[in-house]
Amino acid sequence: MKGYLRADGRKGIRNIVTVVYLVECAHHVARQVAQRFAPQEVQVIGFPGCYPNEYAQSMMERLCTHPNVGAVLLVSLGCEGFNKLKLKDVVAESGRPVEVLTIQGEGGTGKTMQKGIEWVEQQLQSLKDAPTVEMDWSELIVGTICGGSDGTSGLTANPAIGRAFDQFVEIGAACIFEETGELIGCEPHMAKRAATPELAKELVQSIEKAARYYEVLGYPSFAPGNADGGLSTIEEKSMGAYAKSGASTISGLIKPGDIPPSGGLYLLDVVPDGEVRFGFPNIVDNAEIVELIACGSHVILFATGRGSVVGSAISPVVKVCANPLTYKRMADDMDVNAGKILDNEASLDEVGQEIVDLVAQVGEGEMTRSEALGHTEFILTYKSFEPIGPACLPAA
Amino acid sequence: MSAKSSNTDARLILLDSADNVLGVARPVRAGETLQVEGEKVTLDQHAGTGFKIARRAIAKGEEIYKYGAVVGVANANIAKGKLVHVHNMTSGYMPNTKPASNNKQETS
Repeated sequence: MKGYLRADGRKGIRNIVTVVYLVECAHHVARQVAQRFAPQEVQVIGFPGCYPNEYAQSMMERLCTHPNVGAVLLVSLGCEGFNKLKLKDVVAESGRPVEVLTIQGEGGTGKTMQKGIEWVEQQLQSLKDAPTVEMDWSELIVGTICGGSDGTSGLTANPAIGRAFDQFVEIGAACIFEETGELIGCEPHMAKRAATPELAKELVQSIEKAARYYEVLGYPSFAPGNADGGLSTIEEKSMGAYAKSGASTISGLIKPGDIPPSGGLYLLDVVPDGEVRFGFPNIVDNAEIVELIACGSHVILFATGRGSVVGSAISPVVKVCANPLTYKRMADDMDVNAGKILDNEASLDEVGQEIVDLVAQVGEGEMTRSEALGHTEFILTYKSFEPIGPACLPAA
Repeated sequence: MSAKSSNTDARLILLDSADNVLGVARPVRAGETLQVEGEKVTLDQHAGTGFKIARRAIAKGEEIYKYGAVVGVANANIAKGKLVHVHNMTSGYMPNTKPASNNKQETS
């Protein structure tokens, strides 16, 4: 793989300019600036709320200094609560070009847009010839998610991603799986795979927290509709999603914005700590993808049965389609046809290998389907977390 | 390990060698005869994609294994080749939804 070497030693497989709105009121201007350029080169991210919290600040800092990001334009309305100077300092300290445009100070929409477009043009010129260096598997972080699932997801795409994860972990990469709310019932199995007994306890507690959280929200994890698809129990449903994690030892438990300190398999705890406060932990798949990216994921493996089409800002999304009929209908959106396992045209191991090979190509700069189609979805909402405990990370 | 033993119908998929159920890859209709690990069985109920069929005889009270993990408990004797679903298995999961009080302090 080829990487862009950053000042902190991490390497990126993309070199994009992010245009960042610091409140929804600045979203339009940010979008207008980005729209002048190719979606593969300039992407919009941001936080919509006027009163940001610690989570919002730290997520934006992590995202703006993600190794796939080469330069950052911050767009502020002017009166919002976001600490833009702190964010600017963090980005500047990371060695990246950064500029803040404040709409109220610049004299409105038109003038800010003009200035933003000029600044981004300059950055693209200087990023154009940025050198790349060799990038090793041990420098790669891969995240995984499933969305638009159906009865085939747990049979093909999820376990195939699990096989790919096993290979990645074996060759030194860091792999992250998540959505503790979809892993309810897997905790006994997960505990057995934990690197230490202390970590096992943390893993179990994170799932119990998720079970409580969803109970308060009134959303049981096992819905009657699940049985129509052949699933008999909550633990069976969860095991289907859990299959994405493969069979490696679980090295650690992280929360959004924590970057795996070394290779291995990590569970990302996405359910907020404390009492239920801001509603749903993740309102949509892209909210989970954003958190995986904030943890440093260079690339996301997305298992889908019904057929999700999304990509993401910052990191490429590899779509692994579980259902052969969906693949036939939506082949343009899909990178891997895991559904062929059901047609006896490939084994789980073979599709796992195909995913590993494809990630290597994406790491060489090859575009995923969602990238080629210009998908750059992004969403970030309110949450709050306590820091992870000392037992959560492997000993240094 | 998704490799099927040649003596099992191609519409069934084994997810882990420890499993006592096979996943249904392509629908099998009630009354159809199919090979399950070298034995001819006739399916009693329609099994759509994503459903499960017993890979061997499973006794009442035995744990059901899929993905190499326990996904429930049989609440009836299940003959080899029969559909395994909510009519003959049940969840063995007992959630602990009480807040952890032993070591982790939850802020409110």
